[in-house]
Amino acid sequence: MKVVMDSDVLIKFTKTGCKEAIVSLLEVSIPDRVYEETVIEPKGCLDAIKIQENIDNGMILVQGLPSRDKGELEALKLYKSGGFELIASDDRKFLNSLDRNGIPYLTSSSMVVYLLYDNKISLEDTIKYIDNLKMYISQRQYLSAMLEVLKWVK
Amino acid sequence: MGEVMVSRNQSLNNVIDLMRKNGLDEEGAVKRIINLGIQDYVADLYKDGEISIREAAEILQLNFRQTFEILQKKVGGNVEEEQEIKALKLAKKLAERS
Repeated sequence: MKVVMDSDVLIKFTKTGCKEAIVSLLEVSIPDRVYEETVIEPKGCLDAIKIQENIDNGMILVQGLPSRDKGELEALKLYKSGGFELIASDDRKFLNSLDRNGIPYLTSSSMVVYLLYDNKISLEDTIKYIDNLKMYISQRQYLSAMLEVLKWVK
Repeated sequence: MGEVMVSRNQSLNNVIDLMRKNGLDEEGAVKRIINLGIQDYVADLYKDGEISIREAAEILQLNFRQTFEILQKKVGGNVEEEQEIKALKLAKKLAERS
């Protein structure tokens, strides 16, 4: 599955140790502005180095032309360029905008649940990854995702 | 940049005194207090979904990563329950299709 990933989700996956699983199981692309926000601006920070490694080995693709647009707009443009299933973001205002435009999205936690549904990761890993995300996501998001996992177990 | 004069109440004086004990001068202490207030206000706007992280970064004059760290500490995340449920439904649909 090909996805456009926004900066907040990429940083969260990197910080919580979920990124390697995500980028090895999905085709992740980021627009140029997201690359700047996650790698260039925080240069030298461990997370930035890890993301750069994924870009260097082709696990994350930087696509689209550099522009002066905000990251959300670049993510939208990249999605609209074709071939992508959805945009991944955890920013409520951006998700509202995607909703209004009928653009499909996943959040960080629902992306982990997707991998469980698709039998790409184990139940144990799913719970571990969502737990790792807990401090970076809203309580409502965390509980909804965990409830969904529990339903799946039943 | 303009200047603003404010009358000081006792709680403001108390905080400034504490900050002075920690090595800040009065101007530095007042700037620190204002900055924390701005961060709290912006964090509330983000929490309510009125602004995005990038808009918060513009207001705070910080880069994305610095803003992400501040908002993560003050708010955590701001995704609504209905947005998460909608995303989970899509996750299920996509997995069934693959």
